[in-house]
Amino acid sequence: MSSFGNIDLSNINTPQKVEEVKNQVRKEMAMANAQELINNINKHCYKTCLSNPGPSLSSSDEGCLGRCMDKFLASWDVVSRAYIGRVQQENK
Amino acid sequence: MSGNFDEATQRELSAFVEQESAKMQLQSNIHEFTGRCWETCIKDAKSNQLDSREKSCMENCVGRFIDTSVFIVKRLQMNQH
Repeated sequence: MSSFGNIDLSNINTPQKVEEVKNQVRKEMAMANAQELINNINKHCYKTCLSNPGPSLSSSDEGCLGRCMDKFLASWDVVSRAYIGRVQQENK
Repeated sequence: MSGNFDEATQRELSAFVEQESAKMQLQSNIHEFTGRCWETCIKDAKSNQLDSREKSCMENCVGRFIDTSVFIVKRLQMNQH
């Protein structure tokens, strides 16, 4: 097999191939990370904003979901700083 | 696929994958904590920002969760002796 993902590796030299493989891994990781974040926002903001779902998404539901998305991302940021700070402290 | 790479290159790639897996684990913990602490600390989305009480709740939640896991391990080790 000479292809990885949708990149054809057969015509390029080894260091280039290695870089391509690494980039593909990085890309897939970023995708998985984004996917997980989206799933979590969906789960938690649905719960926060649609405790009583109506026959359609109302404009107040949409307003709440928009604010909730911002707030969830801010939370992700706070948690990430707190956690990484703690990990660095433990490793000293 | 690995048949195309020499041994040194394979070693380099497996070191890279290990490093990236560690990053992935770290990110996965951050997702986990964010969800867990959101449930504990956030009651509504009336504002699109965290107020100071919510922010410190999130920070405490992460810290105490880690403390809890450290405590449990220590306690189990103590009971063994």
